Amino acid sequence: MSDKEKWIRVVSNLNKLTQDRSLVWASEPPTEGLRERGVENTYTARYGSWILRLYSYNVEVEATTSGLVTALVYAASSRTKLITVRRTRLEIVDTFQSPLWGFPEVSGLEDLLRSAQYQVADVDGFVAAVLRGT
Amino acid sequence: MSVLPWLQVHLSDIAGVCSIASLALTFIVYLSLRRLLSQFLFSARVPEHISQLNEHARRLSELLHSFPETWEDIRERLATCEAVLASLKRKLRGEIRKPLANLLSTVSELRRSSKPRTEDPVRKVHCDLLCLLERLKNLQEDERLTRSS
Repeated sequence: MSDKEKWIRVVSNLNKLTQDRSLVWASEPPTEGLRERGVENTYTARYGSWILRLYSYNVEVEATTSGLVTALVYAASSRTKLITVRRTRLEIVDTFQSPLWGFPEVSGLEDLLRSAQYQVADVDGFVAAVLRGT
Repeated sequence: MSVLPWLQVHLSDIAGVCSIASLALTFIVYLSLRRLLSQFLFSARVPEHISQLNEHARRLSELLHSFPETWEDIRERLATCEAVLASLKRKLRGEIRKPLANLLSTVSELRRSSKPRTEDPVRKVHCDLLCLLERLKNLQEDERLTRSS
């Protein structure tokens, strides 16, 4: 198993624990520094003695040129096209919300974020309530 | 010594050697074209397949929230995922084909099976799909760097 695959399995297990409600996430307002990076909300959960923090943020990346004309235009002008994309980050933080360590960026982090949002928003409860008509 | 009589004697030998050389050249050109076609297909279609597989992984994760009620939706999702994986398998070469083939057969078996008692087989597919996506992204990055160098 490669290093990245190990982290994918870790994130996948955290996703399973979240969906089983064994891992309980809470919504927290972002710190000033995170707000500057376009973070709207952070989610924290305790796993044993560790505190996990999860959020999505904006980052500028070099666009992958698709199409011959676009590629030629950018190659000729030697300009780099930058686009803003949304990335997800999972960290271990201390009790003061200072990051101690960041997980590698692997596939599955977005799924974990959506599961945490689903849990915090109590979507299951909402659906059950609407179906009951209460 | 005149060249002409020598040529008259050996012309058929030279022609034979040339035709063997041209056969070898044709084979080399055929291999190069195959490689080019495979690179073209990779550049043209694999990014699209990656985004489709990303979407399947995302939906599978969401459907797992309400397993086993969502089993029929999961089966539908696995069917479309299987089609993408089969299409990818035809376009890819090298060591990535093995994990891809393994995942393809797991997805195919799971889709045809009756409702599993636990969500574990679906979770395994979801996790393997994420691992495959990571490998595909790495491969795509390697390909991009090869082209730009």
